[in-house]
Amino acid sequence: MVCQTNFNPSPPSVMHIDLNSCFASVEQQANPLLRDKPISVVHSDTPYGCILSPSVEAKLWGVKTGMNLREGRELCPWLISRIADPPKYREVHAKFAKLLDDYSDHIIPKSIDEFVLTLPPESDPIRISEEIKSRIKSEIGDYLRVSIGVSTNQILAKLASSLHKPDGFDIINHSNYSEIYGRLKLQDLCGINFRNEARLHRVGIFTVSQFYDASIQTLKSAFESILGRYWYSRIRGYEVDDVEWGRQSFGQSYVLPRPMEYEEWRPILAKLIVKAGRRMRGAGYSASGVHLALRFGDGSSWNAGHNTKSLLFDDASLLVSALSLYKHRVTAKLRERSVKKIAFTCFGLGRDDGQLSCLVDLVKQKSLINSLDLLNDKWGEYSVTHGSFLGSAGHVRDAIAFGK
Amino acid sequence: MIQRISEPVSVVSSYNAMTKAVRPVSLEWSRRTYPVSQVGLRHTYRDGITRHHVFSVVARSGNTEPLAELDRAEWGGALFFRLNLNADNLAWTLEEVSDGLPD
Repeated sequence: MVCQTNFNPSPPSVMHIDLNSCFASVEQQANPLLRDKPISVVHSDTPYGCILSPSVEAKLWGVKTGMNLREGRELCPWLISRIADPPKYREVHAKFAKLLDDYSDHIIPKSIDEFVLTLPPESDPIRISEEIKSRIKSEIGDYLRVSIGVSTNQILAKLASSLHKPDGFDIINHSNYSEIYGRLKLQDLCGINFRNEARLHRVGIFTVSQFYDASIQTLKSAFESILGRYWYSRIRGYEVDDVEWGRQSFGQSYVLPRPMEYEEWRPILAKLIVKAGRRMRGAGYSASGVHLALRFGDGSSWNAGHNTKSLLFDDASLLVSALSLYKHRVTAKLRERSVKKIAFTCFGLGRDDGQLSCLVDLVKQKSLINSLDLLNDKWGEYSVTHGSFLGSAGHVRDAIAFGK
Repeated sequence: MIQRISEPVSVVSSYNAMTKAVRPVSLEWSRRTYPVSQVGLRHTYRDGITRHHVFSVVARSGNTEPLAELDRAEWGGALFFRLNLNADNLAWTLEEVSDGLPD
């Protein structure tokens, strides 16, 4: 890689679009009586229900994502709560994707509320941004607002989109980067968390301008990894993040409404595994490893994973594998603790190689599992379920994961 | 205040051939007629092979006599209704009524 010293002189063509307060805005779009009011979309409407998305008005009261509802109401006693409704958000996401398709043939959905698109050469980002904002209001929802950032790479386009919220528009390019960097803090950069900030502090970097001025050697010594070189390019507007990573795992997690004993949470684990297994099989994968993590009621936690001898694809095998982790790795002392959160992951993904087993009739087994999946596709989730599910009714609702 | 309901409801709807859009025009609930004044959002989801169309609408009571707690709303009796149309049997279900005030 050639080490650049100046900011990328190319015209900015990477556009980052962020739907402001996504879930809350969509709820306010759906229900006009909630508009201009502090509302929060929550996972469950209980005092300890996690706030997934506060509205722009709720944010003015200090309500933040990740707080629980009780904390939110301490800051804003008038806070209205609505339980998350994923199909609504997915539909708005799909409408956004369809609309943006008219402006670029290179669109990356970064998450449920963020898109990155590469504009064609010679296009005018200001005109396109105005048109996109106008079409969103007329074609998707008149209350939906987006912040748009444009720059020469993805990380700076995202930074630009965060400069003025809600409904903002900013460009970062070779002629204004210095002025913009001068008024930012290190943690304003996406990817610089408090740990990375501490790394930069250790080499004498305390501001974004100092970050920009630092040599590649200084950044390499700060991050002690390839990240130093990446940041040297990123902050100069060169693209290093336009990489599609293949899927590594499928997982599901669930916070229990109250601490539960093994007999109570086991059916919920089975349900989580079925959800993860359905997604995995739907994408055409099998797994060669499982991981189970538990957080206990007293705040302590435990986790373990193992590789399996053969590829797992059916829910029963995944469940047996996860339970064997619990039975063989969790000490008797830990088993006395009640569980508050369960997280299951299957990893080591592989495509079916057609290898037959002389011990198990895999063809018959797969045919049965595929038939069960088809039945649930046709008649709705959990129409046909395992006996191990008994006791899990009402738990593990549809949800949208943070991130991609 | 939000009231979760799951009851069949009579809905008058219209279809616009130009925009290819269906929208509820009015609904009858609790022996009252509510003309729909605004459709906030329409979205769909699938339950197995059955597609459901959900209309989030605002309507005001066409009658004049006051109704229970939900009608005390400060914006003059406007209520939010969540209407679900089952595309399989074309049955409408009222799923939610709210007034936009904190619980």
